[in-house]
Amino acid sequence: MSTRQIDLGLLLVDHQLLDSEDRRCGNVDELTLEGGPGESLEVVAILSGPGTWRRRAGWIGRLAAWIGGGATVRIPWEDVDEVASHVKLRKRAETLGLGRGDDRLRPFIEKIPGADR
Amino acid sequence: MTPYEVYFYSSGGVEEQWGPKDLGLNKANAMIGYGLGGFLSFTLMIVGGSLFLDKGIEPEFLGSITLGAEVPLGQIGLLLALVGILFAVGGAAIDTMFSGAYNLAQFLGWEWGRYRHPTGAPRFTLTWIVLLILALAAVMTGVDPVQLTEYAVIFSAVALPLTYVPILLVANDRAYMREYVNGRLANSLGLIYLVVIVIISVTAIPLMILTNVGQN
Repeated sequence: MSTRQIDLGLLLVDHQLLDSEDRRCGNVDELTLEGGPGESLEVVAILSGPGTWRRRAGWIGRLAAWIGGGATVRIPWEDVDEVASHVKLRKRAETLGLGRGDDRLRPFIEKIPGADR
Repeated sequence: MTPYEVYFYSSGGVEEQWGPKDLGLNKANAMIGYGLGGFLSFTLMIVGGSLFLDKGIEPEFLGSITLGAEVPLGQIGLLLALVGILFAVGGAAIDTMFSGAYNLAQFLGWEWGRYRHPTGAPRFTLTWIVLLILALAAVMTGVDPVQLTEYAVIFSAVALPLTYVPILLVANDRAYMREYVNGRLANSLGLIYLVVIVIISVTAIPLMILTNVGQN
């Protein structure tokens, strides 16, 4: 990935995650930054999922996280392919543990006649 | 420009992969659509006024307006008007359901869109089905649908600037729009319109309370 300066809060957080096959599979809900005193701060992972909402949005966030099941998925920065208006990942959503809500619901939706059209 | 229309239309644009080549068609759509919509609203009001007003009738049901076609044109007119209402209401129902589903799915980062087919976007599909059932439940409570619509329109008027301002900003963003960025004329008209909708938005609720939702 080429190096350029971006505002992480504006151009990374809350953006759409796309897996290697362009499947929409969640948002960038939080970032994990690492670096000690005097060292440069580095983004090491993206966190995604309802579990992150607890820290972000007070009691509404805690309620939403509880409704959403409270899971958090950690995506190592090495798996990030490209940062554009979306964040493109190098692996499939299933491999990373993303988009599980859709996968769990799919068997039921598939029972609707014509659901693949 | 009401929020739900913006979600529906812009998401549809993504689904159908619109690009610069579709600008002309969309401009024509907007001009003809808004023009025709305004014209039809006026004709409905005029027809309604000339048909009902001098007889002291206050139509309370959507179906009453079909009499505006039935009186001059007979049965054929009535049938055409009813079929027209079926398409208009059906289209609006699809609009609103999908708009709600687009909104939720995009906020939460779920897969969305009709073009993914229901199996490709299960949570999106479930959302619009649930919204359809909720809407049906709301109608079945016996609430007056016309009055419910009036309240919905008032609240969407309040929210108008929230969708209008971002669109105006994006239209001025050269990084997004390149050579299609807004010119001086478009921006002048856009700003005049902004003033109008801010006034509407700020006065909508006070007017609703003062006029008792247009009842006095």
